[in-house]
This record gives sequence, C-alpha cells and structure tokens, in this order.
Amino acid sequence: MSEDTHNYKKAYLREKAARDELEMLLEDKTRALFCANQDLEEKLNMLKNQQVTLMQSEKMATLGTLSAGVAHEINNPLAYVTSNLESIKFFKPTLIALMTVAKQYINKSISAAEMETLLIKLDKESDIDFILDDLDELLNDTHEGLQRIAAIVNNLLNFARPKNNSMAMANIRESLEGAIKLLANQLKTCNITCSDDELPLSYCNLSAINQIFVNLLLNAKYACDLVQDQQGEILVNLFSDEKNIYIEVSDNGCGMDEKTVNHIFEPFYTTKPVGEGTGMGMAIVYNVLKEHKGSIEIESELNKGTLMRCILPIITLPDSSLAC
Amino acid sequence: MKGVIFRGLEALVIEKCGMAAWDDLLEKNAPSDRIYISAESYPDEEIVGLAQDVADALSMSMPDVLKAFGEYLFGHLRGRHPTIVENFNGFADLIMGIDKVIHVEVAKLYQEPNLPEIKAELIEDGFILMHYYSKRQLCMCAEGLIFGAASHYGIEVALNHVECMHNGFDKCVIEVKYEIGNE
Repeated sequence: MSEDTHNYKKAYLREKAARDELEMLLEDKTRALFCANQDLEEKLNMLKNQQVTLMQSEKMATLGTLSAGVAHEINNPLAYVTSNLESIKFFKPTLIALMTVAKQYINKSISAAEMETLLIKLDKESDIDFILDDLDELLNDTHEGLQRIAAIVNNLLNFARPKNNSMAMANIRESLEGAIKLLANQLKTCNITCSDDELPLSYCNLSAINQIFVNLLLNAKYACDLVQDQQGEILVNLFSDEKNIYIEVSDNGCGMDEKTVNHIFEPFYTTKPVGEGTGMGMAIVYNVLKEHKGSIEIESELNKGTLMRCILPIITLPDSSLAC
Repeated sequence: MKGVIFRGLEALVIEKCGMAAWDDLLEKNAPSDRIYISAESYPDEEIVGLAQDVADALSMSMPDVLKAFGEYLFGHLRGRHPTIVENFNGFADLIMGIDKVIHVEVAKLYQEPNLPEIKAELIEDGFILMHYYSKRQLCMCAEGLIFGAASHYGIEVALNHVECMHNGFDKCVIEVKYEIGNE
C-alpha cells in the first residue's frame, strides 16, 4: 500500500468515525425526542380523559344545584295531585256501590223499584251531586299536575341526557327554552327577557349548548343577586347573521373587574365563596364553544353589569373536525 | 432502504475488498453525489445493485452474499446499539423479541423504516419457527442476521428455509434450530 493510499485510508476512517459519532448523537437525540413525544401523547390523552370526566362532574354538580329548584317545582303539583287522589279515593265506595246497583239491575237480580230505593239511599248517604260537581275538576287538575311534573322531568332529562346527545342539526333556541324552564325556580328573583328572532338550524351538540345557557344564566343571576335594592334584569338575545349564531346574555348585576375577566375561563377560578362554586362553569362554556369552533366576548363594567356574547359559526353539514 | 443498511454494506466491502472497490460499486450503482446517512432512506434498487456487484466481484451467489452481509450487519448494528442487544437474555430471547423489541427500537430512530413483518414462534426449546414477509424479499439477509446473532452468543444454529417468497410463497417460513444450554 502506497503512503498516499495509506494516508487516504486513515483520513477516510477518521471521517467515518466522525460520521458514526454524529449519527450516534443524532440517534440518541431522536430516541430521546421519540420517548418525550410518547410521554407527551400519553399525558395529552390523560388530560383529554380528565377533561371529559371534569365536564361530566360539572354537569352533575350543576344538576345538583338544579335539583333543589326542580324538587320545589315538582312539589307543588305533587301536593295537589296527592290531595285530589285522596278525594277520588274517598268517592270510590260510592262509585263502586253505584256500579254494583247498576250491574244488579242489568242482571235482573233486583227490580226497578229496589234499584230506585238503593239509589235514593246512596244519594242521601253520599251526596252524589257533590261528587258529580267535583270529580271532573279533580281529574282535570290531577291530569294537569301530572303533565307539569312530566314536563319538569322531561326538561331535566333533556339537560342531563338529551335525545341527540351528540352532534346533530338543531335549533339552539330549544336549549335556551329548556334552560329557562329548568332554572325557573332559581331565576325567579330576576326579570328575564328573551328576544324571539328566528334562528337557523346548525350542526351542534345541544347537550353541550345546554351547559352554556345554564352557566351564563346562573352567573347573571348571581351577579344580579349581589346588587341590593335593585331589580335584577337579565336579557337573553339570540340572533344570527349569514355566518354565525350569537348568544348574548346581559345583566345589570355587579359586573367584573379586569382581573376577574382575565381569569374567568381558567378552570377552578371562582369569585363565589368557598363551597358555592366549582369554578368550572366558564371553563366549560369556553370548552364547549371551542368544540363548536366558536368564541366568546365579554363586556363588563363594575357596578353596571356584564354582557357575554358567544359566537357560534353556523354549520350546515357534519364537520368531522367537530368532536363533541 | 435505510442508510444504516448501506453503511453496513460499505463497511463490509471496504473491510473485505478495499476503498477503491467501494468507490467503483458506488459509481456504478448510485448517483455521483451519493453519501449514505443512517437515518435517510435510499432507493431499494441501489442495495440490490450493490449486493449483486459484490456477489460478482467475490464470485459468490446473491443469496450467499446477502447471508454473509446479514451476518456482518448484525455485528455492525450491535456495535452501534449495544444496549438493545444487551437487554436480551440470549439467542432465543433476541429472536423472539425481533418484532416486539428490536423493531420498536428501530421505529424510535427512523421515520417509516419499512421493516419486514417477522413473527417468531417458540415451538420448543431449541426450535423457533420464523415467518418472514417483506416486499423486498431479503429473506437471505434475515438468515444472515440470525447467523450473526448465533455467532454473537457463541452457539451453533441451523436454518431450514421451508417456504420462500422466491419460490412463489406469500411469505417465508424458516425453521431455526439452535444449540440450547449455551446461550
């Protein structure tokens, strides 16, 4: 081997060793990056799962808050339905006796004269005129009371588990109406005014949209309650343009300072006393809007009130990137 | 084909035939500015052309060259990634761990490594049945790698290629009979 070739080979081997070292360095870094990425993906999945659990917990917590109001709403019709049924139960022996006499006469086991005697006796003992007057009213009121209970339960079910608990074409106004009915008891200290503009159908998750209305309305009511000697006014304005549906909830409550507005969407951030708020309400609102590719704007002034404006793009076709 | 395989071949050719031979092979089978880098992918035809020319130069058959290359490649890869090999308890453990361990490690390092599909079944101590599938049909190279692994553990191994993609089968089936007790 000539000296040149020898030197050339030595230089080649040196260069090769350098290349090997660089490649090793690259491989080490690539491996570390891969492992770090895998770790991050695992953590991301964990966070996503936790977020779903948290949303469900918040929903359940809101349901808990609502239960008290709903129980009150149900109690009222339940009281007179129970009382009416007691009265109908009181009339039952007379009604059975009447039917027995009628049946005996049909079967010819008693004569017309005997039937007359029995009926006169029954009328004297039970005041059939009163039963005739009262029975219709009792049954109508009972029916109405049960329908009220059914409607309340239906509203609650729609909040917790609507028929279309996934993305579907829907009218967002249904969600507002459901939330107002459901919160009727909580919101009775405030005057609520809703606009009645027609809204286009949009591809959305009504179950999630329910959470927006419930949280915005409860926050507005809370802000109003903090202002003494003033009637709370909540205005809900639903309207749309070609591209978006707008949900505006404004109140004449206590308003928020800049710091509160800056932190309002942070999970667990709350201005309510300990034990009264989870601090998840507005985080959930933000999340639901994000899932619908929407956004939210806040205008608030201390001691004047707050306006929350949610902007939801109108979606007319299923969009695979919307994951609710 | 990943550059790391080309780099293994480069090392083998330079060791056995010298730098000039490698330069000639490169000039014939690869673009003039070709530099092989482990993490990069290069056309499959280049490795086939290079291997064919190595076979011609050494008066060996292509399968024999691939086998020899596989054997050499095992040592080359072991040198680059000693910790992966050290984690195995022996030859059988390594062969059984090709898919679940080695290929997973390779996937960490290289994007789209296009690895062969390898399924190993331990029939009994001393006997593994290996199923191999790759569009590249480099089963001889796989055989060489098995020989390289056996040599690393200092054991005897006998391979019987009972079904081969080169003979029209959908996949290759290789019986791996190895010396036990000395792994």
